Order: sequence, then C-alpha cells, then structure tokens
Amino acid sequence: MSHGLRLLGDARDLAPLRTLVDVAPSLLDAAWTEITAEGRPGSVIVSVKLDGKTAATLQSRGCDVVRVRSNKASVTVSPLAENKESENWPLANGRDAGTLLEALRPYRAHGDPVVEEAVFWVPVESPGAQRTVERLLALGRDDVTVSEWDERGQRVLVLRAPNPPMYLLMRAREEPHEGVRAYARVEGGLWIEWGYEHPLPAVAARTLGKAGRSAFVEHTGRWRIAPSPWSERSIFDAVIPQIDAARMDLEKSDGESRFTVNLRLAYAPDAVAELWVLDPSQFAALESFVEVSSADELARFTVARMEGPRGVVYVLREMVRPNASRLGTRVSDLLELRGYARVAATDNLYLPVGRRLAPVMRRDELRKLLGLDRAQAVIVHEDTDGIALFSLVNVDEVPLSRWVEYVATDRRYVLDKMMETMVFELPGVAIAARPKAERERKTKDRDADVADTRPPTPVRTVRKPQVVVPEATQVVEVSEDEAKLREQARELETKIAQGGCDEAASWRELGEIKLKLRQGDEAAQCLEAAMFHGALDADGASALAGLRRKALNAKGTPEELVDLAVRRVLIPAEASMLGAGALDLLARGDGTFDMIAQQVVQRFSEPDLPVSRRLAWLLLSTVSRRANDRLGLTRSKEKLLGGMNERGLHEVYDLPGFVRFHLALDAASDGLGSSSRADQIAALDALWSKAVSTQIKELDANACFVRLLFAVGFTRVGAAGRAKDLVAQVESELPAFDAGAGAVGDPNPILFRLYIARLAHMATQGSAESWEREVESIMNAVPEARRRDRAELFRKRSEWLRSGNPTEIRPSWQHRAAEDALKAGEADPPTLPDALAKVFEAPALFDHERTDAIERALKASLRTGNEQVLGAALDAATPRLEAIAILGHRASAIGACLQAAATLGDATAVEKLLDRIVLIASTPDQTLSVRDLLLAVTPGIAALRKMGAGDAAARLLDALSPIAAKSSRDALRLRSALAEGFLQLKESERALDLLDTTMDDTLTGSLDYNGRHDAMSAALTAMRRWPVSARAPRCEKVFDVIESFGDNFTTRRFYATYKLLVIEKLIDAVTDEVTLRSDKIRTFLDGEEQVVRRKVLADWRSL
Amino acid sequence: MNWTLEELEPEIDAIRARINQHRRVLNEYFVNRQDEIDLAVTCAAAQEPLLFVGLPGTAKSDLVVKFVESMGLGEDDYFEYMLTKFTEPSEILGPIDIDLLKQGRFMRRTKGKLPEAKVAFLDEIFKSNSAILNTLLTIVNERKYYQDGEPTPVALKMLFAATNDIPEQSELDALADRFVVKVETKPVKDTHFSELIDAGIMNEVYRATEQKPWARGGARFEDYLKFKRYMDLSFGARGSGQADREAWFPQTVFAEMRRIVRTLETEDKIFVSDRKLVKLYKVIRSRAFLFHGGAVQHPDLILLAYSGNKRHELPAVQEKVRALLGLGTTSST
Repeated sequence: MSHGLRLLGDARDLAPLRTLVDVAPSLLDAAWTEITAEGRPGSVIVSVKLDGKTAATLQSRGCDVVRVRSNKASVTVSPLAENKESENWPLANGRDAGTLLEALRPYRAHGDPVVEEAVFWVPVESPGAQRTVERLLALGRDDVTVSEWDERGQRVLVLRAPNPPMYLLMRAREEPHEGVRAYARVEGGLWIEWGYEHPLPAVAARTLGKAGRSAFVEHTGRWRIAPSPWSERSIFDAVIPQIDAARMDLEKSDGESRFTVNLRLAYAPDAVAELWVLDPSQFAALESFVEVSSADELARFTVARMEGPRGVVYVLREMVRPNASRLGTRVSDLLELRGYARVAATDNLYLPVGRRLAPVMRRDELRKLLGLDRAQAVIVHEDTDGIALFSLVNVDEVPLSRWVEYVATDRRYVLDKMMETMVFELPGVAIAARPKAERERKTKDRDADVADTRPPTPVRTVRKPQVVVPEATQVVEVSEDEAKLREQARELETKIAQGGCDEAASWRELGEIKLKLRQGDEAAQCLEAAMFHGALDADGASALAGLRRKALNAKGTPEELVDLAVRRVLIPAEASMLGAGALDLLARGDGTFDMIAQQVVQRFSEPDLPVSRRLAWLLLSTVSRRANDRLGLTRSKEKLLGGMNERGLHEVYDLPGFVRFHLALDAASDGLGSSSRADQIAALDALWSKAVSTQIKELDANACFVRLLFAVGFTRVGAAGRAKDLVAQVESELPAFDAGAGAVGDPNPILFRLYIARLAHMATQGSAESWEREVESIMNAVPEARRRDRAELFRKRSEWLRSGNPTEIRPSWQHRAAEDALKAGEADPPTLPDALAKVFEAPALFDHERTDAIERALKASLRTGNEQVLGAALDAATPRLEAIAILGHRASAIGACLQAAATLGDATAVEKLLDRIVLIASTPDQTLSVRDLLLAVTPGIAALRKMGAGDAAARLLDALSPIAAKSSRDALRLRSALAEGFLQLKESERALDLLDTTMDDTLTGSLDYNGRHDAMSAALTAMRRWPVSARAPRCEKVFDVIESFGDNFTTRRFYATYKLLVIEKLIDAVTDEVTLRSDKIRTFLDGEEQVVRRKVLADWRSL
Repeated sequence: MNWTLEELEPEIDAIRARINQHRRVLNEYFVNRQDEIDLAVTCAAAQEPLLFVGLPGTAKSDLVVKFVESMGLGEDDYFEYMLTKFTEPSEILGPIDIDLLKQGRFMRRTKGKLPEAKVAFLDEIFKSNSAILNTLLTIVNERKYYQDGEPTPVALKMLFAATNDIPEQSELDALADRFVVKVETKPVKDTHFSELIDAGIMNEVYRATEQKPWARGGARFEDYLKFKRYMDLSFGARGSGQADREAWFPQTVFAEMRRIVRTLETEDKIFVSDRKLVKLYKVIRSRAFLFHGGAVQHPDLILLAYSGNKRHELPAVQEKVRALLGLGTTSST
C-alpha cells in the first residue's frame, strides 16, 4: 500500500502540488507512478517515498491524500479523509516516472493561447513535415529555424518559430493524424504541447535549467528530453526549391546592332534667344535697337556676315554674361524673330527658342552627328520644309559696335531728326536752279531706280554724335518742279493737319504729290485716306499696293499674300502690304482674293492689327459690299468701332508723318504760344542745370536716379546723344553698385537697369507686352527675393516703370440673381437695357451694386462699337442715376455715363450730366467727399476736351470752385482739374491763377507726404495743357523745393520714393513727347476719329 | 414566394445549373472579373449585401448593371443612386406625400425608390450622411423602413454597394459590418491590356446598338429567390443547426474555417463579429451548394478572403487566406 495524491487534471491541482513541493521537496526527485482509469476523472500519483507522516501533514494542509492498494484486477483508492469512501478502479493504467515533474500530466488550457515561441515536432517522413514547411514559407516566415533529431531511429524535424502562426498551432492540435506536434515554450527549457499547461512550470524549468536540458512535454505527460541549446539552421536549408518552367540559358553575343532614329525638334520651355540669323533687311531693322543701346549693351553683341546657298546672312549673337539682364527679348521683339538659344551642356549648338532635340542622345554622338567639333556653331533651323542645319565654319565675329558706324540712313527716325535739325538749327537755305542737262540726267537715273527691282544696297553713312552745322549759308540744289510740288504739298498738309478732313480729293492730290516727291510711306497713307473717303478705284489701289510692296521689297505675288494672310504675327509693313494687296485684287476683280478672303477679313477685324483703321475699314467694307453681306458689314463695323472706343486711333498707324512734322513746325497755331521741341529742350536743360547743382553732388544712388530720369527726358525730345552720355555715366557706376548689393539687399541696381531698359523701350516704340517681358526678364535675373521686393515697391509706384494693366477691383454683389441678370446682359449687349431694368427692379439692392451695374453695362456696350447699343445703354442708365442715393456712388456712375456720352458725341447728354454733377456738388451732404466728386469731374473734364466747353461746363466749374478752395489733398486735386476746365473755357488767366494757387498751397500747406505728392502730381499733370513757356518756370519752382517731397517708407535708405516720382512728373510736364503725344496730335486724332466714325456709319447705312 | 421544400426539391438542380450558367455568361463580357462575378452571384443567391471597393473605372457599376439586366428585371425593380453628404432620405426613400402630410400622416411616395426596388446599387455609400446611414442600416439588416412611424418591409432582395475607400470613422463601422463580403476591384489594364480594349469596344458596340447579349439564357430573378428559399428551408430541414452542419459542413473543413477565422483575429486583428461569423457560414454554405451541389469543401472557404473590414485589410486578408488554404496568389475563386 502506498500513499498518493488525487489530482483533478485541471487548474485546481496547482494548490495541492505546490503544497507537496513545500512540505516534502525531497519527493520531487523520487519515483512516482501516475494511475488513471477509464471512466474516472483525474488521476492519482503515488510514490513509495511518501510516508504516512508526510501524507498526514499533506492531508492536514488540505490535499486530497489517498491510500492506494493494487491487485491484479483493480486498484483501490481510499481517501485519508474520514468521510470519503474508497473507490475501486478496474482497468487502471499505471505510468511510471522518474520524478514528480514527469509524473504530472499537463492540463488543458482555456481557449487558443497566443504564445511567443513554439516548435513544431514532426517526423521527417510524415506528410505533415512537407506541408508544415510549405505553409511556413507561404506565410513568409523566413525567421523559422530547423533542426533534425533522431528519436528511437526515427528522424524528426524540429521547426522553431517565434510568434508561431495560430493556424499551424491549431492544426497541430486538431489534426493529430498529420503527425505534427506543437510545443509552446513556457519557461527556460520547458516546452509544453500547445494548448496545455504544466502544473509546476517554474519548478520544472528550474530543474531543467540546472541540468542544461530542454523538455518537450506532451499532453499525455510524456517527456522528450533534449540538449539545450540545440543546433539550428535556417528553414531555407531544409528546402530544395524547384520551378516548373522550361529553362533557357542566354549567352552574351558580340553583335552591336544599331538602329536609325530620326532626330526631331520637340516642344520645350521658352528660353531667351541669344543668336539670330538675319537677312540684310532684318539686319537693317536693328538700327532702332542700336540707336538706343548703350556701349556696354552693344559690346555684348557680335555680328558675323556669312554667305551660303541662301545668300548673305548676318549672324547676330548675344554674349551672355552672368548677373546681367538678357537683351534677347528686346531684340526678338524688335525683329519679330524667335531666334535661337544655346543648348545646355553644349558650347556651340543652337536650337530655335522653345524647341529641343528629341529623343535625347549621348553627347558625344550628338557632337559627331551634327559636326559640332568641326564648326564654330551649328544652328538647327526649322521651317515648313523641315529641319535644316547651318554649320558656321570660319566665323569672323566682330562686335556689333563696329557696325554702328555704318548704319542705313533711310529710316524714319534719322530722317525726322535731320529734318528737325534743318528746321531749328540751319541758318537758312538758298535754292538755286540746276542746269537743264543735269535735271534730265537725274530724272533718267530716278526712272532707272524705279525699274530696278534688286534689293537695295544698304547705304553706309558715318554716324556722328552730333551733326555739325556750318555757320555759313549753304547752297542746296533743288529742282524748281520739286520746290513747287513741296509748296503745293505744304498747303494741302496745312489743310489736312487741322484734323477732321474728309475730302477725298485733297487726300488724293496730296498722295499724288507725295508719290512724285518719292515719299512712299506718306503717299500710301494719303491714298488710303483718299479711297476711304471717296471710293475704291483700280488705279489708286494698284498704286497703293505698289508702294506697300516696295517698302518690303516684295513682288506682290499671290503666294506672298497667302503667306502673309496666314502668318501668326504681322509687323506693320506686312499688315499694310497685305491690306493693300487685297484691295488691289478686289479692285481688279481678281479671283485670287477668294483664296485669302476668310483670313483677310478675320485679320483686319482684329482691333490690334498694326494697320490704319482707314485701310481696315476700306478693306472690310469693300469685301462685305462685294458679297452684299450686311451681317458681315455690321460685325466689321462693330469690331472696328469697338476697337476705336477702347483705344482710339493709333498715333503711329493713323497719323500720317507729315501731320506730325506740320504740327511740330507750325508753332503758335493755337494761340497759346510755342511748345516746340527747342523750347522743351531749353526747359529741360534749365531743370538739368538745377539738378546738377543740387542733386548730382557725388557718385551716389540719388545722382544715378536723377541722371537716368533726365536721360529719359532728353530722349523724348530727341536729344538722344545727351541721354546716352548720362546713361553711360550710370553704366560705369553699375559694377560698383552691384558689388555688395546682394549682401545689403540694395534694390537700386535693379531700378537703374529698369530705367535704362525703359529708355530703350521708349525709343524703339516697343509694345506693352514687350515691356512687360523686359521687366520680367530684369526682375528674374535678381536671385534675392528681398531685393526684388524692394525694387517692386518703387516700380509699382512709378508710371514709367509700371507694367501690365492695373487690376480692376469690382465690388462683390450680395444679390446674386441681379448680378446674374447683369452678366447675361454683358454677354449679349443689345439686351443691356433690359438687364439694367431687371437689376434695378431687385429689392433692397445696395447702391454700390447699382453703380457697378451702370458702369459695367456702359463698359460692355462701349466694347461693342455699336452706337445704337451704346445709346440704348446710356438711355437706360441715365434715368436710373437718381436711384443711387449715396452721392459718392452716384458721382462715379455719372462719370461712366459722361464717358459714354462723349464717345457718342452727344453734346446734350454731356451737358445734362454735367448739370447732375453741379446738383450733387451743391447738395449739402456731409457724406460726399471731394474724392467722390473727382470720380465724376475727371471724365467730365475729359469730355470737355473732346467736345468743347459750353454753358453747362461753366456752371459746373463755378459750382465746384468753392469746394476746391479748401486745402485738403483731394480739394487740391479737384482744383487742378478745374484749372484744366477753365482752360477749355478759354479763361486762360483764371486757369493759370488756379494752377498757381494749387501749387503754392501744395508746397506750403500742411499736407502729409502722400497728400503732397498726390496733389502735386495732379497739378503737374494738368500743367501739360499749358505751353512750355508757362510750364518751365513753374517746374523750376517745384524743382527748387524737391527735397520737401520726402517719404516714410522703410526703403528710403535706398531711394527717395516721392522725390523721384515728382521728378518723373516734372519731366513729364516739361517734355510732353511733342512728336508723339502732344495735345495737337491728340486733337488731330480726335478729329479724325469722328470723321472715321461718321464714314463707317455712313457706309454701313448705305448697305 | 412561399415555396415548400418539396416543391423546390425537383427543380433545385435545374435552378443551380441556370445560376451557374448565368455566372459563366456574365464572365464572358468582362475581363478578369471572375472573382467579382462569382461573389456577386453568391451574395445575390444568399441575399447578402456585397460591397465593391476600388478606384473609379474598375467595372463596379457595369457589373451590377449587366447582372441586373441579365435577370430580366424591369426598371422599377432596380434602384441605383450615387450618395453624397448632401443626399437626403427623400432621394432614397421617396418624397413625403404632401396630401397625406396635411392629414397628419408622414408617408413617403416610394415608387421607383429603394423601398420598392428588388435590386439596388448604391455608389459611394460611405459618403452619405448620418440620416441616410441609419436608414440604410435598418434596410440592410432588417429589410424594413419606417412609414409614418410604422415599420414597413422593403422589397429589396439584393444590395450592391460601391466605394472608393472605407473610411476609418467609427460611426461607419456598423454599416461596414453589414457587408459581410467586401471585394476589392482592381484595374486589369496592366495584365490584360488587349483583352480589356477588345471587350471595352464590344461593350460600346452593344450599347450603341442597344443589344444585351449577356441577358441570354441565364438565370431569372425568380431562380435566385427560389434558391434562397431552398437554402433557408434546408438549413432547418434536419431539425437543428448542428445537424445541418454535420451533414453539409465536414468536420475537417469546419475546423479549417475555425482555424482561419482565429488566425485572422489573432494575427491580423480582423474583427469578426458574431453576426458576421454566422452570415459567413451561411454564404459559404450557399456557395458550396450552388457551385457543386453538395457539402462544403476546402476551396469554398475562399470566401473568408473577403472578410476584411478596412480598406488596408482587404488585400492582406486575401493574401493570408490564400496562403493558409494552400492556394496561389493568382486569383481563382
């Protein structure tokens, strides 16, 4: 009989077993037998070493101690506890174990525990081994290690997996037939079958640790003992990978196949051109660029004269310098050529701007293919025939400055200067008759010249800084006939230059005279005007076409016209030639015109085509008349008048050259005294001498600014030589300013360059777009954002440096439906009156919305060019002015109405609107500011200039006078406007007094910096209406106190903003660009505009 | 609709054959969409909602439209709508009947709307607002909606939904969990470039000529209803769920399913709710009967590959389940 413990096979066994270990630790190493029987829960463990005393102690500590007696048939289990009965266990099984730990059977754990580490124990030969390895690999478990052991002659694979896959653990437990057993590591070297727990894990682990062993315990209680640690290898070592795929071995081949790939030009981002290939005429067109460029700038260009299959070409190249703004944009714009840009990473390969070679090639192959090593430069040219390569070998490049001494003289700019020099500086000319024989010879030569169609050879003349005028009277040979013709021309010019001439006969006669005088351009303009006011005739059209062709040295073939018609950009001469050629075809009834009819009508309907409006209308009306296309004529009319409403007539295309000269020569024709260029030069000189003594004290930034400002002024009045001298001084200083500018954030070198560019831009008469590009180029050349910002601060305030259109700020609408109605009207201008009615019907509309509606409606109708639409919109807007309660807003709306009425030439409407201003001005409303009033007065004064002043104007000026008597900034601005108004009323003295008091009050008053600048700007702007004799002393007076125009910007350590801006205004006031923008020219163009407008409407009505 | 098991028994094999034919016919008009079509057919047969998750232009709505057209349903039987956060319940359930409202009754005019549709496709389902979500929850789960405060059954039998993404917001979990099966639709152009273009062009031709060849000889809507009825009756035919399981779900396969679900939960943290587990069992069982007419086999457990909840879980779960089932990564249901 032995003593033993009864175990339940679950967690309840833990307490008695721990008690057993506590009470009799020696029993751990004793031999034990586990007895189980079918149908009996739990088991009994017995040991002969467990004596009665210990058994009693255990019983007293709560353990279920039993006495076990066995015989052959069964085992009797008798509890020591008195109240329990003995049990007879038939069919009992005994399992002997060497120690207590081995005798204990693990019990089932709850659920599916997640364990940190496990081994999968599987006989190598069983199917489970292969499947387990495959699944582990499929799950990406490359951290599994493998070892193989022998167990009683059977090879066993042991796969050890940290964080073992739950799936495989469960499968090992639930699919025993696969032969896989999973053991989870409990502690130390103790591994228990997954899903089971050992009652004494810590004790077992400690025991195993001491012995340096690992034990794998099955749920049946069977122990497998193994050495610890055991040797392992990667799972991949247990795998023989194979792939079911046909195998092909490839061997290296020595072949080097090459394929022909055509290079082509593909689109690339735009770059600045640095090389141009020019034909002789394009090269001659560089003249205006050369005229205005400084020596430093010219030194950056080289020219090579080359000969090839296409004749003589000139290769112009800009030497790109670091940190210097590029001039390529200016040249490309002037020549209207895209030019070529150098390819990055090559020294001498040039591609058209905006193109790149595709596909990308290795550089050495590219060099070989294009012969880059054999040529100084290779240009890839592209035209409609495809790509052509120009290899420039033996290029003899010389600086462009060397060519400057030999420029063509048949240019308008030089002629203008020579003519003016003759008028103002020559002491006198005596005309002597030539011998008859020589006259005849000259006539023959001239005829021969006309017959000769060869390209003209550029005339080379030595350019001299100043024309040296001999003191003595010179004898110039001029034929009597020619003198007579000039006399006749002078009379007709006088008549036409007064403006508003609509007599076709006068224009035609003058045109014929000009033709005889070989003044082709002016003759063409006269012929255009003659046919515009009269009728298209075949002879006139033919002569006109001939003249325009000659200007371009073209033959006038249909192919040339087709080429011009489809060309993307046309220069003025090309546009004129296209128009004249088309007219000629129409007059002759040549069917060729039909080939280009669509393009020509489309091109000449564009308001910004560089051609005179007369020619445009003549062509458009003739085409429509020929096709009896009333709708087309209406469209053409609206486009033409719309363009005129927006821009007026063009000072270059619509103003014949002789008018400009006549106006310049005909001094004192308006009774206001001379405003001739000589007077302006003198006035500017006087200012300059003051500037030299007060502003040019040292080589500082201020001196540079003043030099540049005056250089612009001198250029305007034609004294380009003096301007260049001034600029040269600044240019010589530029490197000094550049040095260290980046460190201190000095924006002045940027501004200097901008002024220099402005000067060049003005002289070349570049477009607004090209100025914008030039500004962008200069600004982008500056890497430091801080410097750019500082330069921008000044540039945006300066009228000369500003670029782009000012952004129109429109109020936001609260009433969406009303705004939608207005937008619908804007999209369809004839419906604008209805749209305005709808807008004003909207309840609770704000005044600013009403004002915006009127302004936008009138602007949209102005754009149509349709006088009926404009009139209807004005009629709809005027009565609704009363609905605007806030007077400031109403004043703004009246201003818009005034502009529309003046465009229509409706004197009655203008007067009524002026009276409305009077009404507003006399309303005792505290909320109306002078600034609001100016919104109406400014367009009112502009209308007066255009239409002449009447009684209503007098009433307006009288009503505003008390308001303008104040000394606030806006009152002073209003006073300047009134002064201009009184000048229109012919009250010159009162106007001048008003202007004087304005200037005095501005200088002596207590205005702040802003106010003083604004008021003085307004006064100086108004002063441009006075003759130079009146302007000059007043400008000098302002210049004397120029230092009083200070500013409080943070940038004043670099530049004095308001001082420089006022100097700009002073120079504007003194030099009013007499050859381009004088009042007389404006008057002429205004007069012509009315005539053109009348004629267009008459033509339209007649169809 | 209340067919008995005895009535259905003689024709169930023919129904199965027609539905399988339907499955094959549909597959002819798509490129590499066998998995999606099989799932759509299975879910339609089990009347469980199916969620398509994928980028725009991956044939989600086209598949549903062709599926519906091929069953010969009328326009009023099909409801399709794209949901946005501004979608109102009246757009889904129908507008309020103003006349009845004046009488104090809050009734909707449901004609042509979701309550009267037998099949519905809701695009961008997770972009709807909470009002719509709550309504959909009731419809999907309980197949009813509320008219004048009274629960009213909907006619809806099959629901398909699509989304570009499954949002992570917890308030959407409930609706997402209703979709037991979620399948990711991927572009096939990278692997089937030419086939895609050929099939796409033919689809354009069919559309231009108003042909619907996919409607030929497949199953009708009634076949699906009968199949579902048969399955419902057969689940209880042996008296208990355990008896059905022992008959139709072999112990080894059942243990495999349990192992996979447990693995997904413990290793991939895929939440499988009790409701979802039951529905998965039902869909697997339906699939097995539909596809091979007998007990569930190992390959039928592939449906577990579509049990992911979140967007990022879908490919991971699919990969895992395929690996556990010893299937390759190439899609083959």
